[in-house]
Amino acid sequence: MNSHLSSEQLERVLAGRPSYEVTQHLGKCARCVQDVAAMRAVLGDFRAATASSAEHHRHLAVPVAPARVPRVAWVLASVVLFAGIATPFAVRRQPVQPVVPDVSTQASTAISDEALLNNVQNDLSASVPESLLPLAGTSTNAVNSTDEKRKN
Amino acid sequence: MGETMLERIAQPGELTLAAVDTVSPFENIADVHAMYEARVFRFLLFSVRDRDLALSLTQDTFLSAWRSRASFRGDCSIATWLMRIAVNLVRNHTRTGGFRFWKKAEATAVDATDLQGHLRHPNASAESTLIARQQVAQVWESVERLSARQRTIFLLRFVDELELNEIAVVTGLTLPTVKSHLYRALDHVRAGQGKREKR
Repeated sequence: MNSHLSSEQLERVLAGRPSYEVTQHLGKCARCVQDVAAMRAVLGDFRAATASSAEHHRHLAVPVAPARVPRVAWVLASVVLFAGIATPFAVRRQPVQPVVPDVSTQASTAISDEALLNNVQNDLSASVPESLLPLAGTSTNAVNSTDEKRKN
Repeated sequence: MGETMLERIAQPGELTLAAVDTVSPFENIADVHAMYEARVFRFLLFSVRDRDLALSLTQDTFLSAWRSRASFRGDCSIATWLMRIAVNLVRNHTRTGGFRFWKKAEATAVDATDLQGHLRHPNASAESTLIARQQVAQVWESVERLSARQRTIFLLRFVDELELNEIAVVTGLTLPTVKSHLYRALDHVRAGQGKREKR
């Protein structure tokens, strides 16, 4: 091992579990021994200082009150929530309006139906259907003229 | 309650998990709080750098631990479980608080000067005490410049003295990732010390 200790190797030494190779190196390298000692001392001081500082601040600390939502906001939120829940029920419960038939429309429909039936009845009872009436006269004339020709 | 808790104490300042099989240690939350509050507060203080916020998060940590006591199976130590909750709370708080959080934290920050003042070397000379204080201040300045994840891991390792596998459990990271962040953080701190010596 030619180079000095890496951070990984240093951490292992500080944790008390150096590899055999590192232990061998520390036996020969005064600079690394000094580095390890310095880092151990500094980190020990840092730990002690943080512990002391934390203990000091723990006695002075006041818990932060959670951010309070104003009461009006709660009331508004409740109203909106209630409205959101209640609206679908209110809409569903609205009574269905019965369809009132329009009397005049009903009467006119009945009349037109009656007239249509009468027309059909007339057509059926007539010897010549109404649609063929214009042809009825012409066919009679045609028969008469044929008879006159035969007489001649 | 006191006797049952004493039975669980294996080492001074540590609760064991011997009785975890039957009763969750978090049922006696007052005892757990008394034993671990200082430790959790210290980690939170140097994570968020605001004592009032740190105290609130400490209380939240124990409240969360008590609420989720049923899910504690004793797979890890009580300290590790609590630190995991604390790390998650810090993460959530910084995520949701955003800029406002950091602004507030800076207003009542725990700084290097504060740490220097708490370093006591009663038997050392004034000169060596001064050097030690400067070194501690330098370490803190380096730690402040670390990323949030590196800082968390550095604090858990060198302030709370957790093992690497415990840090992996606390942070929810893999062991190689924890090592990678820790060594990078240590590189920064060593570089900071090197600069100070050159001055």
